[in-house]
Amino acid sequence: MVLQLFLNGVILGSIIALGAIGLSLIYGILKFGHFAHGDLMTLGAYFAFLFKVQLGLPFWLAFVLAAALTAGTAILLNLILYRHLKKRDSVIVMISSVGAALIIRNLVLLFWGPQNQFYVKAIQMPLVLGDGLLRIKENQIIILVLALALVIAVHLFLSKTKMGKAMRAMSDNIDLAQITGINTERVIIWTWAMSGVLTAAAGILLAFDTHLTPVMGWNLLLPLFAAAILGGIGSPYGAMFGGLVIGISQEMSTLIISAAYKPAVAFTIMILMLIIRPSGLMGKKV
Amino acid sequence: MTFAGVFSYLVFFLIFVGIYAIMTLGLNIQRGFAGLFNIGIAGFWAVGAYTSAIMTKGPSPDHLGGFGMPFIVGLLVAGLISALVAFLVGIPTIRLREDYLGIATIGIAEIIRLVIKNEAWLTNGVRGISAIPKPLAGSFGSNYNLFFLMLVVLTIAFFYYLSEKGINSPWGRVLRAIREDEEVVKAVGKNVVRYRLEAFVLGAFIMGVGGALYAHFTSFISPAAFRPMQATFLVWIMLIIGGSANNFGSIVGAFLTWGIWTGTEFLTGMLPAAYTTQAAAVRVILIGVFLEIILLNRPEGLFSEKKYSSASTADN
Amino acid sequence: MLRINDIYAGYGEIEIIHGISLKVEQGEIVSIVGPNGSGKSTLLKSIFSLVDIMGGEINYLDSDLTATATDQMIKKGLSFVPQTDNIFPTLTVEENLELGAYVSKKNLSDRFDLIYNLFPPLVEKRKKKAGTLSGGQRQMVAFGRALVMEPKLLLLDEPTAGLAPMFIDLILEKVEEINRTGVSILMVEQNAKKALAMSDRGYVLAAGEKKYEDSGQGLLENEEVAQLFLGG
Repeated sequence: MVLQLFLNGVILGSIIALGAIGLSLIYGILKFGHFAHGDLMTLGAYFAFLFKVQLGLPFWLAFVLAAALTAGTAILLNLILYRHLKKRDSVIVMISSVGAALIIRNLVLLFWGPQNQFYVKAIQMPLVLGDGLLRIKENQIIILVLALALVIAVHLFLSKTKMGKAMRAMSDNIDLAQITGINTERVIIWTWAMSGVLTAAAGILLAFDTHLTPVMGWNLLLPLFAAAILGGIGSPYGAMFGGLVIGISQEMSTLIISAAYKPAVAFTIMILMLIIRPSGLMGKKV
Repeated sequence: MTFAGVFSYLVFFLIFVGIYAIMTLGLNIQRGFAGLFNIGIAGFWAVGAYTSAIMTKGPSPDHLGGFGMPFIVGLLVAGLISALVAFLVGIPTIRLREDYLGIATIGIAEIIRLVIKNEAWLTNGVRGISAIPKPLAGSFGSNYNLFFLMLVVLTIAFFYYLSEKGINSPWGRVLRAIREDEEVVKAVGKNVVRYRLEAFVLGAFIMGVGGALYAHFTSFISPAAFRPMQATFLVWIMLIIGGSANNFGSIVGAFLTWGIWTGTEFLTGMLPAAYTTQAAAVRVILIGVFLEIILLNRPEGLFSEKKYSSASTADN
Repeated sequence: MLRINDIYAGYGEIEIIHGISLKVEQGEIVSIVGPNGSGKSTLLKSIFSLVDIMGGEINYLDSDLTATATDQMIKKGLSFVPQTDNIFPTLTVEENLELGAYVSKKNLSDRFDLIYNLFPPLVEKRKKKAGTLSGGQRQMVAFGRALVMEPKLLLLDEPTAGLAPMFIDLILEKVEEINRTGVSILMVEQNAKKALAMSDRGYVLAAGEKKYEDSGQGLLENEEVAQLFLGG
């Protein structure tokens, strides 16, 4: 039982981790909390639904297209809204992201309706391991593999490529990055694009694991923030770790408290982190 | 459409404007004067509504009750509990960045919603609390709503006065100075966190009272009634349209925004019933876009901050 | 090569520099000294477009710097080492230097070798995160990063600030060494005496204005200057 919960937690945690990386990057480079991040997850999932279920494209193609469109949406949001509002005070840009979240969520509701949707109609029989100790569906194995692949890709991008290093540098110190000759506008666009892709992936994997609903991403916003804060704002690696911790804690909490209060777990961990160590486990000083 | 019908609708409309105005006045203290980012307004609203309902009802098998307190006590306790929640949330988060407070308020609103939904012994869960007593029910006959509107107006006037007095006081001056440049205020030795926390708690008190008034007017509350992001978002629009840091603006903003919001309801109400969910979604999209346009073009809103007594740290 | 004419600069509505003119010729070491709050840092930052310019001109090799964005400076051959936050703490020493070469498409490994020769202690710390180094070593990384692209003019904002005494002389020696390779230096320094002793020329600022200008030696021997400004 415990092992099963742990596994469920790792799966949920991987999904949260993918979403939290983008959130943490945006936080670190653009210095604001992007409250529409959860709804970008939703958008990615529904784009994939459009391409796979409604247009009948193969899953991998639907995935790629959805990720690209979500990245485009993220860049567009920045172009139309955040770029201009950043110059005003930070609350204005955050409330505009709350507005963007609301708009995206309701656009999804408008075009696809409120009912639960699925990528695949068939019920999957889980693989049973170790004498009933562990049940894992084929979907879930794919999720873990994809999440791992993406995380490795992110790591390679950030550590080996010029743009990746520029992103990390900007997150450390924007002024110095400019002094070094880094074109910060371009880095910002890359950041939004990367966040969009990762977030779409998180949404698609979440839908793959459970189902699609217009509030799926918004419901994860709190865990996303909690993961980013836990790992340390601005640290993508921290976000990965934080995501896993939040996911596992949330699932395993059902041993002690009612499942209805799972969201409260993420909240509690986040508040504790803010009290004890606001810079997070791997972050810089707040 | 008789005159009496129109008049009756107008009173109904204004009561809602009034309740939202109270919420906006509360947010104005938190955001307009203290610069805080509270996006969990729906949570304080719900706390106020449920607290007052529980306090004022007689015993009931469905939920906690039996206190049978008078209306005014209900309002007061609603405000206090809401303030208490704000205090508990604020302590770990106010000293940190604005966005941390923002996500914390979303979190607390979510937890409040979960508690309301799941602790049926307390709140009757999803079935909600009904038959919430209206103050002086039975008097005034068919003019009761007019009386309730007077109550709401009185409450607005009270909080308006309270807020104006507070902002003009030495306390308010420090608060505004913090909003302008907190480093300077810290250098003078003031405890910035304490002032912000006080503003947060005060604003929450007002929101709790507003929520209580809502409960007593509608007589029935349930978790579904608090479409959290919608309610929260509407109040923010009211604040921004009216002009942050201007109490009069908050009231005007509430009026305008609620007018636009119900206006869209009229329009979409004319569509066939099959389109209800889509219509609701369109309304939210429209109001969302409306806010973004305002933020991009006139974020200062209609009324700018009044020239209160000197907002500099001339205290020293 | 650098000519600043009557520059007014500051932050938003606050003017800190009130009409200062100065110049740096090819190959020189020029120091800017003066009491705290005299605007020395702001002056350097204004060259790099990091503060608001309210009036005046900054000419570098016939190019108007007031119209140039900060991230374009390094391509023109200007490099800047700020006083604080002058390294990328979560990046390794190696990565910090690599970023110094960000605008270049070429392989600059021979430049990196040169930097490591200039600052040997960095060799064994290559793979370490720059934020974990000592103050003196961090300053070396900051210098190294600024030198990778072979700048013609190097701006230094209080290069010895916060360093242990042993490092102060070391860093100033390095500055001379760098100058000998042909890099012109414009340096703000708190250690006024040491700075002026190694400078071709110097300027004394106070309250956002230029009070004295002379050769380095001249300023050292100037009694008024010594009394009023050369504390350390």
